[in-house]
Amino acid sequence: MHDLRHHGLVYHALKRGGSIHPITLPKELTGETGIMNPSIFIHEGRILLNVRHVNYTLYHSEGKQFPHLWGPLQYIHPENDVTLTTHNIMCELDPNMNILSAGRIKMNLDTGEPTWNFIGLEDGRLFAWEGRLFLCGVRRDCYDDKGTGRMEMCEIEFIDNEWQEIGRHPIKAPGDDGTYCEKNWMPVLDMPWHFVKWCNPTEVIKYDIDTRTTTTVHLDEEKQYSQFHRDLRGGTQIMPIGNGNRLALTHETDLYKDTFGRKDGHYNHRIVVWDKDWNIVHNTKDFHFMGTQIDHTTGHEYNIEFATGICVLDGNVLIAYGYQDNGTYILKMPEKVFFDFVSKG
Amino acid sequence: MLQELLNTHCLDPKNPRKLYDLAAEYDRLDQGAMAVSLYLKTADISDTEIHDERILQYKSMIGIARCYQRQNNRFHTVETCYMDAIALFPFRPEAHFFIAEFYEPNNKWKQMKMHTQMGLEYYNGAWEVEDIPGFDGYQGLQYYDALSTWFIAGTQTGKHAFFDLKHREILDDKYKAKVDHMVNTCYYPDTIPYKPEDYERFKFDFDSLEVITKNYSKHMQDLFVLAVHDGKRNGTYLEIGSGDPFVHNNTALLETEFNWKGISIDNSEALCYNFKENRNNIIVCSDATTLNYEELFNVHSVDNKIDYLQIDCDEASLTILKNLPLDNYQFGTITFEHDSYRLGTGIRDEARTILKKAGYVLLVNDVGFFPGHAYEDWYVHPDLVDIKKEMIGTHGINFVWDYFMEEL
Repeated sequence: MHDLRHHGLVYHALKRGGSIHPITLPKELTGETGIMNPSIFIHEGRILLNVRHVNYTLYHSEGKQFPHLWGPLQYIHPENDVTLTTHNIMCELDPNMNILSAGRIKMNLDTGEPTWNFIGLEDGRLFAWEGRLFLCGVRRDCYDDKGTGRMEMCEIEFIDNEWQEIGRHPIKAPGDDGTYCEKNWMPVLDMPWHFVKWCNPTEVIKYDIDTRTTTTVHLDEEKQYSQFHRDLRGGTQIMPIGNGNRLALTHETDLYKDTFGRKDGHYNHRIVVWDKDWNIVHNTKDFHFMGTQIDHTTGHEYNIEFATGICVLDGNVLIAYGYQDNGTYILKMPEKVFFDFVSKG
Repeated sequence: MLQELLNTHCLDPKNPRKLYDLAAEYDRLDQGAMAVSLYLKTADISDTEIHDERILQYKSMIGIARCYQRQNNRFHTVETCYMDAIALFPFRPEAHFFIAEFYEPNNKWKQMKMHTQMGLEYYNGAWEVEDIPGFDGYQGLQYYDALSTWFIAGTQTGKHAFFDLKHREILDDKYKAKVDHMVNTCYYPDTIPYKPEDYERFKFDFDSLEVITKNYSKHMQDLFVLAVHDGKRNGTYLEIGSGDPFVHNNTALLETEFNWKGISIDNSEALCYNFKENRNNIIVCSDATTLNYEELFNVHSVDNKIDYLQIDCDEASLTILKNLPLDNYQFGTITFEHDSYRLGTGIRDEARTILKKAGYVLLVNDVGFFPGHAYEDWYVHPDLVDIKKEMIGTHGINFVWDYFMEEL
């Protein structure tokens, strides 16, 4: 199972007993716009999947044969709506990844008018600490009119037959809280109130839910890894894998301009393994899930995909990822196949 | 189905056909966003130089446009995706149809017209028919062509286009309903002309009907006269309220193609001048309500049996009828305007009494230029013509189209 730059992880997983599960939601719920960046988590025996639903449909001509009139990568939202609005849709799945129920999370604490155009809690990762279920993502609609963003823990519960927000915890950036935008922090599943803020070097922060303060508890700036050409940005939750080691999928972005200066880009993923002291002890090559476009100068395939959830269920690893901001999939494969890929990939 | 197609694609990810099939399935399931991504990938990985793959690109760009169209308020995106499709195959009709359809709620009538004209032009060309969901074929292009024609100018041309669709085409239920709605909205055209393509449907065949390429009456009164008289040549007429020598004129065809002679009367000097300039038969410029008809007939040596009488003078029709020497002159056919749809039934009923007393048979009562609007009665005199049973109108209003034409 080498060189996933060809055909992608899904192809290789399918060849080895894995399966791919498309998530489709009723148009009455989505208006047929993008559903993406899903996060999967098993909570009290229920298989939960949070899906980010946006008011746009990404237009991305990867091969640049048919770029949009405004460029190869465009967020196509209603022409009378300049916002980029996110809603979160919680799904409960059966063990075969069929949807048992799906509904928009009721954000009870949304009060007042948004102060910026990016509205809603974005790219929420689903996890539970001390029995409390959270969705943690970035929110940029309430700090100022410049897009300042902070991670926010949104506590949710299933009440009156629907998922509802019962608490909201904006997380200050460590230090003087002076950064512009914090995003993609990865919750450490077996360390309540801890996140990995980024990976190269790895910075672990702790959030105190009582005092609402943030502290960096690990950062060794000398441990920057030269094999990574780009930032390793947050992806899934960080899950323990035994022997004090932990694992997550991270993502890397290549953002660039086309001939006419119009934005374009693609993402790759990587699996990173830390030891108990937050040293990166292993990583895979970068890979994609189901890219089809090939860069003939490098032989690499690429795509825009984003994995924001991983869990283990009945001997299988489940990875939830978004595809081109427009679709949602769950890749399921036997643990052995997954860890074989981690070790060799 | 989706699962199967997804597996098939993932195991052969660079196969554009499989990618397209997956995109189409997402589309069918109303998963527009994902369908957009997959259609776009199909288009991007296909080779424009390979015909079958170019077709996939064409269908994909149409698919993308339609997905965005369902999401509403993405005008520029939808429009340019259709343009991408058209750029791939300018001479195929499908994308022209879809973009025309898309323009409707956006009131882009000129753009719609351009594309329907191209689509109709290319429809019969050498293009391979593809199964493209939502493509409504020729009738769809015809409908949007009519729609753009109407909304660009709001004139008779648009009304005629919808009339033709309603009465000269076989439409499926979708377009039948749309056309009915539009006909009810923009109303019937002022005239319902006969066209050579109507020949097979024309109920009352007569000698030389097959050579008629154009008639002039508003509602085929000229054909009624000819049908009653079996396409008679060298007939005679008295035309009261002649109007324009050709436009909406009931005797122009009789004179020009069947060599009828007669006298036309109108009180408009301008119309009479025009008539004199353009027609060979007699025109009398006079007030038809006070004219001494016996004297007129004597001056022009008119026989006391005349093949056709037209009285088309709005409210004055009845006065004129009363002024005619019906005791001394007989008319083979009469078209009498009573405008009961706007003047009530008084004029109509009094005229009927007068003409019945004079020996005329009301052959077609309450002729309507619209299914609900009666404005004329058509009579024959049994001493001068044989009454053809098949030409007897029905009770109620006789809408001219239904009167003359067999159903499709």
